[in-house]
Amino acid sequence: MSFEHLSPDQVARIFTACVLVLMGIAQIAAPGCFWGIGIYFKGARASFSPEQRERLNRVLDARRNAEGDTEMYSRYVGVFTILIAPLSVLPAMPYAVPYALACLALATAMVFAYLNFRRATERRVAPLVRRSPWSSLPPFVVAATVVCVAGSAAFGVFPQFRLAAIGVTLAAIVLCAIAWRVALAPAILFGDDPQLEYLVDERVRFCRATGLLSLACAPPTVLVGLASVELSHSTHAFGAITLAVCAAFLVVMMVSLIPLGQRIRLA
Amino acid sequence: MSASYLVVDESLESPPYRQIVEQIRASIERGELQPDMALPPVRQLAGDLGVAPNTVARAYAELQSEGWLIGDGRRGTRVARDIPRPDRQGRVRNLRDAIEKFVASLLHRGFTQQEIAAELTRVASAE
Repeated sequence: MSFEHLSPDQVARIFTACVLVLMGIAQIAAPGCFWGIGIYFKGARASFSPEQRERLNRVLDARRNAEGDTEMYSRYVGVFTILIAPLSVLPAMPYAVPYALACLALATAMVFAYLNFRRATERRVAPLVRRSPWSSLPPFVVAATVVCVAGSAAFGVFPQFRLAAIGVTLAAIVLCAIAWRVALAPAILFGDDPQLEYLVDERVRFCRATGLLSLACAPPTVLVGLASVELSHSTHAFGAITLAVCAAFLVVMMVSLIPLGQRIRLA
Repeated sequence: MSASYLVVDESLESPPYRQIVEQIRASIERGELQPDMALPPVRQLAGDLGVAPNTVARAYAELQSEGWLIGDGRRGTRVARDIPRPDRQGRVRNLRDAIEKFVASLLHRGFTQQEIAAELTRVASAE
């Protein structure tokens, strides 16, 4: 099979559809890969003694039980992502929009998981510590997200990208709002091992909030990247915006990944 | 970072606001909450405990009226710099009140007086 007869636009559409199908398959086959809490503690686990690892496993198991069957949500999102993948190849649909929808579905599932979690706990323990949402969403990460979203929205001045820019910007704003809610959400502690439960809660909150901002930045970056290929003849200003959006996305993504390898210091 | 923790147990006879008052007071007495330390805002603590904001506001108000906490405008609620020092008789009275409430709740749950006394003696001697 040859792709030589296809236009760059058709190749990009087929590529986007394939990415969505692969994302869907990943979510069905490995449902914990996107928001399973185990991955946030891989680095911490490595530095723990066997007893501490046992403690961490108990806390994570309690949290998983409280959150309920989040894997079910992941599978639903996986099926949804595969179903919307063909939309990418429809000429009438800007191909960044199905990708934005997939990210939005993932975030919605995260919210359902979080709400389940809040309802599931009967006994509630509260740390007597004042929390700020800015500790989960550092201001420079929020600033980078604003650059990303505003940069992609600027591509709305081109008629061929207007619909995509509106769709992607709306999806990104919803994702940012959800990230803010997660940063402000109550701590969920059970009281069996409050010190470790508190540390776990802080890390889960940070990883989920910054992860949601990464998700918010991904569709704008895809849109800007694809648009810049088509607009290579356009002004230098949009070249600079493209670079700024890509750099901002990298910053947000790196920050969201940093805690995965970090250790936890237990008293 | 070490933190103090509050628990609200709905199965106890003591109302949630009273449980909050007693636990915060005990944390201050034990030195876990230091003078001038900021406490979480009412909404945050209410959300964490799963109780109505009014419950926490009432507990904070009572602790402020007793001199344990101070409302500090934009800085929020803080532990008072000069916390009340109960005299010896007051401490004994507080202990007796706490034990009476605790024993009453255990009797309510079906434990016998002998079981409670034996367990209290064992725990106290172990401490």
